[in-house]
Amino acid sequence: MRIHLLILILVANMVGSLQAQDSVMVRAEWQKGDSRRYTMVEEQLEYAGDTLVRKDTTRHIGMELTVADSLTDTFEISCFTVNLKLFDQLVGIKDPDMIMRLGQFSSLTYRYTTDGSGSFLASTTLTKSMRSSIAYSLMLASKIAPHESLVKPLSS
Amino acid sequence: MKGTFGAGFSQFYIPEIQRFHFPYGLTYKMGDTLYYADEIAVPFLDTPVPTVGSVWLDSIDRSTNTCVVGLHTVPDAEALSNATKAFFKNIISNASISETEKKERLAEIETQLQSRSFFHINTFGEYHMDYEKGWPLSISFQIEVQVDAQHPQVRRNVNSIRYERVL
Repeated sequence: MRIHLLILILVANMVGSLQAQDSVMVRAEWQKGDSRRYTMVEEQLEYAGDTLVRKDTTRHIGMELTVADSLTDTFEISCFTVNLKLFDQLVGIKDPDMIMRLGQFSSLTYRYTTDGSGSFLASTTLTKSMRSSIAYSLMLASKIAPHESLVKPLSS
Repeated sequence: MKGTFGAGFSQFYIPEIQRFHFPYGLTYKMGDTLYYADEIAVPFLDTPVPTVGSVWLDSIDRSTNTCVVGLHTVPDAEALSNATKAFFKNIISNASISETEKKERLAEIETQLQSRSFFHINTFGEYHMDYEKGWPLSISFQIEVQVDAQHPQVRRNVNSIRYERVL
C-alpha cells in the first residue's frame, strides 16, 4: 500500500513538473534603474489587388524605457522617445523654419505606472508642453501632402 | 486589451504603451488559447467596434529563457456591419440629393451590406519575450484592412509596427 502511495506521489510530481515545462509566466522582474532601448518602425503598405501602390515609413522612433521607481506593487516607467523620422514626406522639406520647429518637437519624455506584474496602469505625467507637441505633430502630419513618388505603383 | 482609456493624449500614446505591456501578468500554457473582449477604433466610424481577441503561447526556449506569445483580433462581424451601415446612412441622409434618390441609395447600401461586409480588419501580433527579466526582445504587429467596395480591384492596407530591442 505504501509503495502504491509513493508511486502516486512520484507520478503527481512528474505531471506537475511536465506542466511547468509547458507554461510560462510573463511578469516584470525589474529593479529601479533598469533600462532598455528599442527602435519602433511603423510602415504602411497599400495594395490594389496584388499590386503594391504605396509604401510609406510613417514613423521611426527611438525609445528608452527606464524603471524610474519601484514600489511594493507598482513600477513607474520613464519613456524617452526620439522621432528619428516622422514621415517619408518630411525628407523633402526645405523650409528652415519648419525644420527648426520639427527639431524642437522631435523628442518627448513621458511617465506612466504599471502594476507589480508589468501591466499598464496609468499615465503619470501629462504636461501642457507634451500636449502641444503632440497636437503640433498631428497638425503637421495632416497638412503634408503625400509625395508624388509614393503613390506610383512600386511593383506590377 | 486590459482597461479603458480616455480621449486626447490617451488616444495617441496610451494604445502604444498598452500594446507594449499587453502580455504581462498572465501565465501562458502551450496548447491553450485565451480569449478576451476588446474594442478597435475605426477612423471613419463614430464608435469603437467590439472585437474578439485570442492570445496563446507559441514557443518556449528554456536555454535562452525566452518565449513567443501570439495574438489575433477580429472585429465582431455584426457590430462592424451595423456601424458601417450607420455611417453610410448618415452620409446619404445629409447629402444634397432628392428624397427619392436618398431612398434608392439607402436601399442599395442595405442590400450591399446584407450579403457581404464592406471591409475586413485583422490584427496579428507576436511578442518575443525574455520571461526571466520581463522585457520584450521584439514586438511585431500587423493590422490588415481590406476594403471590398465597388473598385475594379480589392484595396488592402497593411500597417506594420515593429519594436526591436537595441543592445
